[in-house]
Amino acid sequence: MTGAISYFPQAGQQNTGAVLQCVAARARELRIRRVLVPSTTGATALAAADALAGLDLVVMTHEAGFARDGEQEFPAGTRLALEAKGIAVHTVTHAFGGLSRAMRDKFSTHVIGDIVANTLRIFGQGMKVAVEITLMAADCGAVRTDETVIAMGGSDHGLDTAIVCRPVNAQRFFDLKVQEVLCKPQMHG
Amino acid sequence: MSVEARIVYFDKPGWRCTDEVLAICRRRADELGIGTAVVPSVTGSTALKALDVLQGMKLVIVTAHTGYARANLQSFPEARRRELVAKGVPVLTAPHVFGGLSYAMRDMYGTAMLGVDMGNALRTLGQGMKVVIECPMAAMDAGLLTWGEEIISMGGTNRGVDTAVTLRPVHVRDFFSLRVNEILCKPRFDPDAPPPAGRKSS
Repeated sequence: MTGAISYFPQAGQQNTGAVLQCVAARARELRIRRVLVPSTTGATALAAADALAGLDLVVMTHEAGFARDGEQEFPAGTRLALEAKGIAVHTVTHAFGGLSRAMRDKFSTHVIGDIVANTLRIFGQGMKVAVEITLMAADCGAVRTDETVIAMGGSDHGLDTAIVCRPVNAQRFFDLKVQEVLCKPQMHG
Repeated sequence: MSVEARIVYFDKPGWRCTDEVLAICRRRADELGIGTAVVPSVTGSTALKALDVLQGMKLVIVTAHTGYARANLQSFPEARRRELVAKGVPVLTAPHVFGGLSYAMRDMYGTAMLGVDMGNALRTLGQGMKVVIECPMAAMDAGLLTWGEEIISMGGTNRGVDTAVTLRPVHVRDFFSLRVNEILCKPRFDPDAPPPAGRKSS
């Protein structure tokens, strides 16, 4: 089967609109209902809610305390506005962060989560995020593991990557199979 | 501004994809002006096909390491290796980057170590994707590729090839700097297929 893949010259948030277009088109073609979007400040979530109206959008935020202890970067007002539209916003521990980040920060030791994350970054930071939020969404019950979804990812802010996959729980990570890569940045190494 | 390109998804992984993968690589190499390809080959059959389809390109063939299937066994026939080398095609037999001591730990102590974790993380995009990443690093460390040159790398599942990407190879010690530029083809995987055998139940 021949498909299309979009390559962005640079990683980053300037690709957000193009990623959302790409996702909307492929969701229609594959009749995928549920799409996962990472959003730190809410801007990407709002853009996705607009561009992907009619799809079941699942928004995954940074974990609380990611940037600063006790702080949640996703504005409460935006969360309420999205939830009022029936869009779920989930805040849970990062699948590749968690205890691995605790080890890195406290003991300067890189363990499994860092290794997996850095391996996926071979395809770009967005690929790591798309895979990670898929595990997180499965673990918080926002998606089922017997449905096919589209997951998006980005580099710091916005979106630059999208994949099609069947979610797995984090404890089943090594069973995950990325079916399609819809778009990604070109990575010149 | 994005560039839209073709990506080919195969219904199933495996050697049956080989001819199509080589044709895809030929086409994309010509489009991008890429002159070098890394080809994994266990028995030499994929290497010979690549030599035919990718005429004019510099090829680096990477075999399974000696002892991979059985102690002292090298599956790549010696006569075929000599034939390729005589044509100026290097045939590399070297330790597997993700295997080696990591597999020794896994096999002796049942402990997944660095290389096993990295290999399994890459397998989320298919077994071929793991091979696609592994072979160019071995070839770089053997001095067979030029640093900074974009190449095509192929990978497969047991036999043949079913995955191809473009990348600029790095040495093993620079693994975390490696970046895949384009994905030319890969298996799509059947999401309803049963999980692989041998998985521990929770």
